[in-house]
Amino acid sequence: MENKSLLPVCCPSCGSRLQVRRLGCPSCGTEVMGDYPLPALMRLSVEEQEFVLAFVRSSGSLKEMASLLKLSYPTVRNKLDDIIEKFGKQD
Amino acid sequence: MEKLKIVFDPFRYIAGFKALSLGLVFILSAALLLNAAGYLSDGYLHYTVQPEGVGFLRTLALQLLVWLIPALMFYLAGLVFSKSKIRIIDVLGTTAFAQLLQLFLIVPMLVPALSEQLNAISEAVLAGTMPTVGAWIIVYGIWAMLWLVFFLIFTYKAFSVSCNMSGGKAVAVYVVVTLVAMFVMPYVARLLL
Repeated sequence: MENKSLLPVCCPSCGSRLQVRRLGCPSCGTEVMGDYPLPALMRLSVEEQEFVLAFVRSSGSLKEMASLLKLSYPTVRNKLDDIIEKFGKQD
Repeated sequence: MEKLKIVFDPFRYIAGFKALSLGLVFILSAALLLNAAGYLSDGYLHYTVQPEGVGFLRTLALQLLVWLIPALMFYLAGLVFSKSKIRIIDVLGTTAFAQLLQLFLIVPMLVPALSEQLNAISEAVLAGTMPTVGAWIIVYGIWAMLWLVFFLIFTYKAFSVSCNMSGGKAVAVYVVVTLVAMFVMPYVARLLL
């Protein structure tokens, strides 16, 4: 992840999931107002998003990911299963 | 901090074939040390004086069974209860690696003074007399208790990581498998001895 200034996904006050209300164009300054739910990937924590990116970059090979992240195969598989479960709950 | 993580949660970093290879070395070492000290495993985490005529091979076979019986039960439990697609190589590997801690229970048995006191207890039990508990036995008892707890935590982590199970269900499966292994192992040992 390049942008480490974290996008908050949960309300700091009540803990509910946040939605996008306002978007802006940095070049012309146009602003769009609305009520957009965050895409599924954006609802994950930064660590989980990094994990998904690494998973895509290694063409979905858990073995390759395990060696890249210097973790054991079951640890990587368990993390992936946790994310899959999280997606399941979102649906 | 990272080193502490490796010590207390090695299965985060090691599993599969690498863990199995190292685990088999630990099991072989345990059998060699037990044989040198004149003991063998006649139950799950239970050692006894080697009977006459029992050699290294049977000591090794028992040591392998002490690992393999619970490991296979963990695998079967994982197949039934885990939400993940588990691999037998991970279950065998992590549980074999956890056998490392048995070495800490076995090495002190090579100390002649402790060995003498342990043998005296065995003889007293066989003769039906009251055994005398010496200082070495007390020190070893405390040492063994600590490593035993550490061993149980270690094997739980091995099962938990390799089968992706945690919480109450994992603890319940772990306790049942450990109790079954404790119940089954003496019968297996009797068949081999």
